[in-house]
Amino acid sequence: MKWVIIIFTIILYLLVDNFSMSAQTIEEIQSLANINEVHQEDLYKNVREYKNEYDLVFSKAFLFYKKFLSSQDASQCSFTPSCSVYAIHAIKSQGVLVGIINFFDRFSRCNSLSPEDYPKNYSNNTLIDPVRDIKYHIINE
Amino acid sequence: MNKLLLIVFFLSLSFSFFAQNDIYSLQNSKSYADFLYRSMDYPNAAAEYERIVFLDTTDFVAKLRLIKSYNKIGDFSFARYKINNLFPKTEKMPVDIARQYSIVLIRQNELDSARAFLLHYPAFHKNDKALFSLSIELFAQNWEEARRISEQSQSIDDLSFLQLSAIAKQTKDIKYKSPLLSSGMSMLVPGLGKVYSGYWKDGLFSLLFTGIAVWQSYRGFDKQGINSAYGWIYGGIALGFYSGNIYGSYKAANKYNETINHSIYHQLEEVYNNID
Repeated sequence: MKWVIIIFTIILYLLVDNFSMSAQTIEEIQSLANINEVHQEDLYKNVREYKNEYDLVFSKAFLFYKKFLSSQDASQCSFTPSCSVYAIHAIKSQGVLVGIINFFDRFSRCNSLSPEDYPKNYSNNTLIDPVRDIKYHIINE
Repeated sequence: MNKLLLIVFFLSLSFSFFAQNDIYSLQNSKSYADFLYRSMDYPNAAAEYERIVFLDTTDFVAKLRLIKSYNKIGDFSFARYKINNLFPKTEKMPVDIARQYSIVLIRQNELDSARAFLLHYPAFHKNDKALFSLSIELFAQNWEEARRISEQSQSIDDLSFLQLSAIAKQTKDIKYKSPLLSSGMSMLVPGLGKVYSGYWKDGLFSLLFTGIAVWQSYRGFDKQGINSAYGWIYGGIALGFYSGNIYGSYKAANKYNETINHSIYHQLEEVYNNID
């Protein structure tokens, strides 16, 4: 009797399982593939466009830093945009020399000791300091 | 008897039709719009006045309050669009509308157009002329001219004018920082220009960063002579911090000046929010 029950259960299991199983259709596989495809906004789209060789070198250096160094740690910069983004933005808009000088000024201000001088970005608790030229005018990307 | 009662009952229902009013009638809309305007609910008042102006094209008060409502909301471009539609001839527009038009031009920072309008519009009252002239000069940051207008029109006791005059007087004490002097100071002592511009913490950091980089560079050259890579690398970094500090000092002075101008602009905005 015991064996009858076991065999019956196995046959029943196989029958039910066989009827209930069906292969995935092509549409289902495609829809699953779409789920995994994440459309991420390219944050550094402007950086990938360069006008000359200097621009190319700094752009590549920036992208290398962002991909392999900066990404390994939490953001430590006091500002939005961060110092590295500020630097590449300044170099691209003001040229290599002035851009680097502007970056050094920004870098020396990168501490959280003067929150009263900047508006605050509450989403990530940083201070908002867009790239500005020497006349304190904002330089748009 | 039952039939009679039924007839009376159904007839009585018809009274409810007489009891109803058209709540969107012109008169009711006016009352409601005026209530909203008095309650300072300007966005809803503007919507109501839009309907009134559509229903009654001769209602001047509704037109004026419609424009005022848009000005109060801060939608100056729409207020201007309405003025241009309802009163296409600027020289012939009523004085109340001309006031609103001046406010729109000033708030849209079209100060030259505001000056020209003030000059060519004939019906402005002396007080209004003084008020808007003073406003234009203050918004244009011509402090001396603003003070001159304020002193010339001391007999005017209009509240907004007095508030603007107080701001104009306040500008006498403004002491801007010189960006060139700030840069020059930072050339002598790194960070000193930033201290002069009121950002002493930034100045201290500039001095620290430049000083450390120079010291490291000096150490490198001192130990290994002119061929020291350490010395050259730190020398480059020191040069970057030093140049950045000069650049930053110029910017800091401009930032200081901009902050002052901003604070005055906010005071002007506050006065202008209450001008009717």
